[in-house]
Amino acid sequence: MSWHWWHITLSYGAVLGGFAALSLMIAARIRAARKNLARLERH
Amino acid sequence: MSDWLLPWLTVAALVVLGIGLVWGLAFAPPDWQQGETVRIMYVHVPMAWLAMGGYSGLVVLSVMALVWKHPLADVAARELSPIGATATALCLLTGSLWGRPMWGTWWVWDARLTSVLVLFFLWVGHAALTRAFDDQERGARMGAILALIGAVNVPIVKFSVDWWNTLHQPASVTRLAAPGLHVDILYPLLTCALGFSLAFAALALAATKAGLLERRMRALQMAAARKAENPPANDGRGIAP
Repeated sequence: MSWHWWHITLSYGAVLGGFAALSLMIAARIRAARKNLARLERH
Repeated sequence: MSDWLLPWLTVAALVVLGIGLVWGLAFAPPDWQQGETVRIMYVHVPMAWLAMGGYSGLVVLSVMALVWKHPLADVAARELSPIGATATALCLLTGSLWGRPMWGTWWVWDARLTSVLVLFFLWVGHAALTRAFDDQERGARMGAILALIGAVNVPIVKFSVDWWNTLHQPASVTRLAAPGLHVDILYPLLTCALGFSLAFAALALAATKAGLLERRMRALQMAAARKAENPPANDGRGIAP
């Protein structure tokens, strides 16, 4: 792979990885909040 | 609303992004000057637009929070800043990865790059400030004031390439005359920009939903703590001897 393609791959990887990481973190927050809310509403 | 809108927004973002990225990577032609490296544009330019467009959204939410005291605007603004900071950081990173083979340098302190770095600090500052106070309303107010002060930087980012002599090229797509890009490059770029905008909107909506759930959770926790501290008065009839 040429030097230019390394830069292209890193760029796409960083952007898609960044968006995927944000999605996973937000999904984990929603899951945790829902779980805690269900527990609190039971008591 | 988010319960039905979020899945649609997510699917639309994935479909449009899939089409745009494959188009940009595999089918769009290389540039006659930049060669294959021009493909970085399909992720770099949408990140730059989201960094600036997202910040304009933050300014609108801040006005809504300060003037109309809209509670949802507070939560949405607070949740938008980490996403905007990520988009701006990715804009700087991909710009650097594009600049090294094209300009021969990773970074230069020209007006465009420096003003985008300032924009990144404004996003991070907003995220930190809204979370720095125990009183969330006070944090939201301080964050809104910072966002409004920082609004002056948005036109500086946009017009920096016209006002100063910069290494960064002037606008190619959003100039008033016809776009300076051939349609074979312009259409995949606009498709990627639409896909990333949908993904940004989906993330902002999901994060606002998470923020609202967490706020409700905290309210219930505080109510439970108050109940534990001050149990209701007992008249003794229910207590066994």
